[in-house]
Amino acid sequence: MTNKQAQPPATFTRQEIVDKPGIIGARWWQESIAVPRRQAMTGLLALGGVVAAMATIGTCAVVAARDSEPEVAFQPRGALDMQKEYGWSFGATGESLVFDGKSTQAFDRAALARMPDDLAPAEASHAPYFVPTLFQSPKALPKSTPQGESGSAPFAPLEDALVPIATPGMETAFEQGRALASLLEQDPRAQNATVVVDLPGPEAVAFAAGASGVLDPVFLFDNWPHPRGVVPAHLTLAAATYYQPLFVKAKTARQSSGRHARPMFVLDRKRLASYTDDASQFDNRHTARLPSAANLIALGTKTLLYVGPNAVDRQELDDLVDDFAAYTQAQIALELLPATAFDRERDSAGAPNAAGGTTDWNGPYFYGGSRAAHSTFWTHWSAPENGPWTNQLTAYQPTPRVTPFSSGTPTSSAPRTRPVGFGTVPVAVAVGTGVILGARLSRSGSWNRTTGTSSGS
Amino acid sequence: MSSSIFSIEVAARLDRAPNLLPLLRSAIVEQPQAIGLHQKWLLYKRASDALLGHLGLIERGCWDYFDDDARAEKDFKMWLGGMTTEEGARRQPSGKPDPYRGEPRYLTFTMTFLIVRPSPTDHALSRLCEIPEQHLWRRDVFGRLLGGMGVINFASVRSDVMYLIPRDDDWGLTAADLAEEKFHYLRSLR
Repeated sequence: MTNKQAQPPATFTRQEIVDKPGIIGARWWQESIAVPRRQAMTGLLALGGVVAAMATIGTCAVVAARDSEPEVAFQPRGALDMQKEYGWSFGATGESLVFDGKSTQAFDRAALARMPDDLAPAEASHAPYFVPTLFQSPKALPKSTPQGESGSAPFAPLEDALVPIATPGMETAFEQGRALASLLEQDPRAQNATVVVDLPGPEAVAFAAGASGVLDPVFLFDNWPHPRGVVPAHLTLAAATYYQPLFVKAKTARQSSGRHARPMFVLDRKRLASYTDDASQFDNRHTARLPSAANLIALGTKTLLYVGPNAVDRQELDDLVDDFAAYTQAQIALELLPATAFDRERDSAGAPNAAGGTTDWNGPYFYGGSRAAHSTFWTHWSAPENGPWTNQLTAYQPTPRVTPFSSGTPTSSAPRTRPVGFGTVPVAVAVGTGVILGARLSRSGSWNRTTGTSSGS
Repeated sequence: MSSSIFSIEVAARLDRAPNLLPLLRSAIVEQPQAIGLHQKWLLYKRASDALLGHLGLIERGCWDYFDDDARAEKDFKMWLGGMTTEEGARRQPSGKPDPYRGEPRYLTFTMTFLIVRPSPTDHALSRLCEIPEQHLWRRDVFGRLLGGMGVINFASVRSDVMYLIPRDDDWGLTAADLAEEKFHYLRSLR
């Protein structure tokens, strides 16, 4: 007799082990039920291609259904190229866009087809710099369907999802643009000025709309919206939709007046938005494509007026560093103008006050926030201050700097620096044939695991 | 006899849970060369309970369940390769985690099971993994899976793999490590 209990039989045996500071682990094998791999494979061959029963649940269904398809690998491809080939919602068909500040005004959806023309510059000399990419997206249709996306939701054109928006921020930017135009319209010094508006997309469009009575907008939105886009380009497009009739009207008025309008390049300040997770986000970022220094000079530019959001965030983004350095080298004067330099005049109680002052401009927004200060814009233009007060026009001397988007040396024609993978999307590609099967983000993590690493198979 | 596969891998903050690493490590090192069914169940329970207790510190993860025989065999080999190739492990130490002022440090813990199908365990796991697609990457779903691993009867498990990165706490993964392409299969949890 013994007090020892009988130990249950050990049925698992350890087959492999890793034991290092960076990793520890093991694999165990139950011999009593394990089937030799060779036997298992033979059994599979005997099925003669009949696919065994597969799970139809959750994450597994998407992946399991691909068993009869070729091995895949993930490769980066141009995000815009993929959208143009497979549709604006590539990898996320069926997912919706979210619009803040939907407009309740009547909306002519048929006008979306005319956006690339309606929003093109009026001046022929400005036309080569116009980037119509964003405005082409509403009517664009996919040229083909990824071979691995047969089970995804049916494609719906962007024009069906698009609605105009009008937000308080846009209304403010619109008035700020009007106020700037009121100044540039009256003074001969503006005849050599080129304006660059670099505000968040909807506000940039609104500012341009406000200034379009005097300036010729040249939009540089080089991306398409996407349901999981890093850059909320759909909001920019929705704002452009809202102001489209106004842009048409302003362009017609400028053309009929016979006056030559100075260019106003319009950028989306969110174009370089931070991007972290290519498994869930779509990298629709893009870089600015401003004219070279020589081309700006050819357009008659002596001063470049750069409109940033506010006194703090008023300097150029990283993708403009080399351009700005080249402009300075070419003797083009740079001046920074925060959009917030234009404000609604208020009385001592904070109520709007448009009485008195020394300008014909009736506001409601004025440079310096008052009718009296409005004309000091030109004082600052002629003798720009570099003091601590930065919510006004200031002269600017850019400092070349090395960033992921700039080389730190002035360049006028060399290709711009971009981070590796910028503006690309990982796609699943059939190994061997190179056929694109779909977007990585349309797949579950299991799909990623199965094909995205070099471990195992 | 067919197979199915159930796998789960998580990435958790090592610097904020100093007790998690030794707990998970013990679940591996206390499994001897030869081990019985119940002892194995207890050690997996220890590991899954430890992770459940630190669910809030799990930032990324990935899980699979397939009841297709060929896929199960193939993927089991793939998950095993994640250990044998030591692909995810650092080649040099990253330094001791500092819970107050240091950079984040992460561990990954992986469990994979090649399961006999049909079997009660396979059926139970199949039910456990019935997750709507829009909820796949929710932290509470990972909690459900970890909490439900008790349904595994190791009599129906052909083979299993358990591995931990790192073994030593000064070899933890950094945020930059996890940002590498090889870890993109680990999805951010909501």
